[in-house]
Amino acid sequence: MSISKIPTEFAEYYFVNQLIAIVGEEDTVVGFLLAGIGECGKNNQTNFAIVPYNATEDEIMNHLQKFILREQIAIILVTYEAAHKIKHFLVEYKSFLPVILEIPSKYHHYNPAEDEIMMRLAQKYCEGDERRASTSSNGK
Amino acid sequence: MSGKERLPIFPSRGAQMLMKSRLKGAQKGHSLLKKKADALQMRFRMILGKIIETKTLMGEVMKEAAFSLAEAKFATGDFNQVVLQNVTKAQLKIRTKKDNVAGVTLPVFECYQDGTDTYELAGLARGGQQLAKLKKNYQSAIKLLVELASLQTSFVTLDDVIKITNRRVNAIEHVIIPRIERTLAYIISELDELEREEFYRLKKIQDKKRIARKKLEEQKAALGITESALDSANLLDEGDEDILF
Repeated sequence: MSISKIPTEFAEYYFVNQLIAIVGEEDTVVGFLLAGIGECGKNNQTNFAIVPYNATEDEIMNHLQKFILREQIAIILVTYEAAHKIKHFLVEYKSFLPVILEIPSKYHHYNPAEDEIMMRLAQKYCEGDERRASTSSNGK
Repeated sequence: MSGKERLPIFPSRGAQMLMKSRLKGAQKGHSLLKKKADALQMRFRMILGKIIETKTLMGEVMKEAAFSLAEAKFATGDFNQVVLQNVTKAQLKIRTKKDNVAGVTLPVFECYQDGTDTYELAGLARGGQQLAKLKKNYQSAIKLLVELASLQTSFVTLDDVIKITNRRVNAIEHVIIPRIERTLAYIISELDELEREEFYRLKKIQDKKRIARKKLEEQKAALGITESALDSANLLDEGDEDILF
């Protein structure tokens, strides 16, 4: 039974035309813009925000909140430094859409052990193991 | 408290049948839910593995992309402002579709190309090759990130659903089924009690009857002679009870 492969031609898209937003330092943002995610709509409303290295938490949150409230945005990328500053928010963030992803920045090499989401995953993984063990032992 | 221990129901045959069918239903539901939980758990594990794999890969790809950005900058000079000023329409967009695992809807993101490349002419003078490479690197990074985003949402959703399903499984296993079983046991004990009572009552009546008959016999024995005399005297009397008493 293969679960991962479902016939895509029958799948109905219920959202199209959605965007990826990015909050981060200049170089990473420029890289992603070159790849073609940038959009500049009415009133110069952009889907990217450059936050300098020494940006405060409020500034980052401001940008992030704006992106979260826009329905067209499905994924928000946050670079490591910015994500690090608003960690408490990311941990609390439970909403379904948009998805917030932490990405490594230019200055910071990616280290799985430091990734908030990875840490949560690892935690859940252990939890899941315990839960599974407890349910299977209950079943017997 | 007694309401928690068993269901408030009058112990009768009908109620027993009802409870039996409810027990059967609960057991069926339990096994089905358990199957669902297992299916979800399986999917969950798969996603976990994939997330970790993709995250690690993403680290690599991003590193390479950042490096190619530096390369392009070296070849072309600083182009940050040019890029930032020339943003118009997004070329890579996201569309979402549904995936269904054991009745749970999961979103799957997909990125697709829409429109033309705004920066087609960037790096025309110098460093075109590096810029092309840079674009390609970042595009592959985006593909990975989009995949990661769907995995992450699936992960969060599945986690919740698994929690709920497990709670249900445990509730059925540890609360509902025991309660029905207790009710059933109560009904059976009550019915047995009734049966015993009935049996005892019958026995008692039999005893009483026997004692009465004995007494009669004794009386008869005491009056034996007269009775036999009476018997012989009265040939017509067949010893009918209604006549004797």
